[in-house]
Amino acid sequence: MNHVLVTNAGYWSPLVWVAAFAIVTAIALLIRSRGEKGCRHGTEQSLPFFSGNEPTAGNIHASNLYWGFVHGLARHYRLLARAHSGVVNDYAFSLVVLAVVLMAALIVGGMA
Amino acid sequence: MTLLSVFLEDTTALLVALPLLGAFSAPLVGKVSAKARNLWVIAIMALAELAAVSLLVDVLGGNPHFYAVGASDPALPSAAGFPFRIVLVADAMSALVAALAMTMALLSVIYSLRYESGNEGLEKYYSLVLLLAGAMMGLCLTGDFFTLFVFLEIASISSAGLIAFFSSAESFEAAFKYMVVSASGALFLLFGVGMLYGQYGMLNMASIGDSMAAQATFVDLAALSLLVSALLLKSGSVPVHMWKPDAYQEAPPQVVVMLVSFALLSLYLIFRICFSVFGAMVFPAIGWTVAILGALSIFVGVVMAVPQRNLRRLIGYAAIAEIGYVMLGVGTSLLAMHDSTGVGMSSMHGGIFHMLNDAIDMGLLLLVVGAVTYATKRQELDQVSGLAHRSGALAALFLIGVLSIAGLPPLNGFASKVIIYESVFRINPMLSVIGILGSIMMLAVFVKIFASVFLGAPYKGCFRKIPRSMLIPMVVLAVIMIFIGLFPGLVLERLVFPAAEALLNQEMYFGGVL
Repeated sequence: MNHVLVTNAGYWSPLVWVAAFAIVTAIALLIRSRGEKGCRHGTEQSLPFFSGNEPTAGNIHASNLYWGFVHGLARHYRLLARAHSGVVNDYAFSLVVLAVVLMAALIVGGMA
Repeated sequence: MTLLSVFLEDTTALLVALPLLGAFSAPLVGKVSAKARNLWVIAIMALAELAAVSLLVDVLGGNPHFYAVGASDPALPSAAGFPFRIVLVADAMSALVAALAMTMALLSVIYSLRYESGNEGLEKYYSLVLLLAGAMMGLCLTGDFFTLFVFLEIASISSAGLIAFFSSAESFEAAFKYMVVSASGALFLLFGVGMLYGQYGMLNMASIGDSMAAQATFVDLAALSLLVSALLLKSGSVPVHMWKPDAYQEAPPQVVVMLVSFALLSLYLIFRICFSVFGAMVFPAIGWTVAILGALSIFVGVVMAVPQRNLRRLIGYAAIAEIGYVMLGVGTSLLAMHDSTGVGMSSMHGGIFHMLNDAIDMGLLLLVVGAVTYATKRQELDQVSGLAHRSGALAALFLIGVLSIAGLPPLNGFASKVIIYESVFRINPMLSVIGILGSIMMLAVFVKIFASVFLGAPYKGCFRKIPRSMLIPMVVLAVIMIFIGLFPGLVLERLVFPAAEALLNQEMYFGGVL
């Protein structure tokens, strides 16, 4: 079976990648097996380490993730949120705008 | 004539007829018992799947099907030299999308058996599911514009019914919004079809394409813009994507899997109309439009997915971005089709390949998300965590879907995206950069889901065991994804290259119908 993906710029062989991944995994496991044997599960040794801070009581929730990204782009998100108003009139309006833009692009580009 | 030979000869028509028969008979069989109804629905869908796969195998063997509905000899659609009948066309492209949509529909129905088992009115639910499946088959195979409009309406109405089916205020609202925008789109499409009918006096796609002059007229281009706008709306591309997160949040996950197929079919119809009907005269103008809208869909989809807290709404935005990759690939191919370096063809292969991968990847992710909702009765991201401790299989299946949709090797998503990046880069590096950044953000979005839903301290709430009938469709999709990822060359050679060839070969399309 043909596993090689030939693209316009080169080729890609997934099976070679899998073989390389297996070798790297084997090396990683070898290194791990040579680590400290006295690790005790269920004690504070297995708790997450948050840069010296006290461990938090619960999980880190989804709403906490990428907070900085969303906060940093708050202005852009406000714009996008305004465009996603949830009002069905706006949905229909966007279709009209699309049709007009498309018609202009096609007529200008297609008849040139 | 044996039953088998009739089945093989009339596969094209049966592919549309079987789900429609199932849709109207399911409520009657449901009067006997729920078990009989389930068996009936599965049998109909399995038979339709068999028809879709046998049609694909036959077409890929070099026998495109041209079927005139109602003709004494269905193989001769235009005995009088004028195709006045409804013509169904199954070439390598339409047979591929039909087989894909039918496979996803079958898996959705198998998944439904337990997912919806506690609900009432399921005979109506299965009727709508089969109606949607039948309409999608009609959309794949139709050879004329009016039948396209009719099947598009059947698909839209059954989709709206399914979004609202398990009634809540939010699902009614989502279905209402979908119905309004969908009806608006249908009117645009009908207006476009009317313009073409006024210009050429016929509705058959091949006849219209054959009658077109070398230079497109004003009416041709105005009609094309209306048709493409309406189909972009159905596919959920930016800027007409707003219905998608609402609908995906409220519809049952297995129904959303079918809505993803429907969205991809809408894109297929755009490509069919551009390549097979209008041909080279509109390539650059429509190419830029489709490619830019694709890049915008990727950008808006992933950026809006980041802050979402509802699992299904987030996937709705991710689906918008994924549609963008297909548009980017095929849009760029329209731009560079006559490029001697083969970039245009390569780009088209990437786009078609990604259609296949998108349906499978999104399908798996949606079914896993559905299983999370089934097990915990929750779909807000903040309300669930640590599910990997309760179901390692679910976590593993989700991880496979995540890696694939983010375009990481060695899964199928990587294979199609790498072709798109490479070929788009040669036409316009900026569009390719948007695509790559979109993939990185897509990974970030799904890592967020994986980290918050599956990792962390073990989930302490009520957790229902995932039934085998729900696990099987997910495992099937994961196996297909791994197979395509490991043997991308095979899939390209056997499925994608013939599909692209069929789409481009206008002479074969005209010759078969006329």
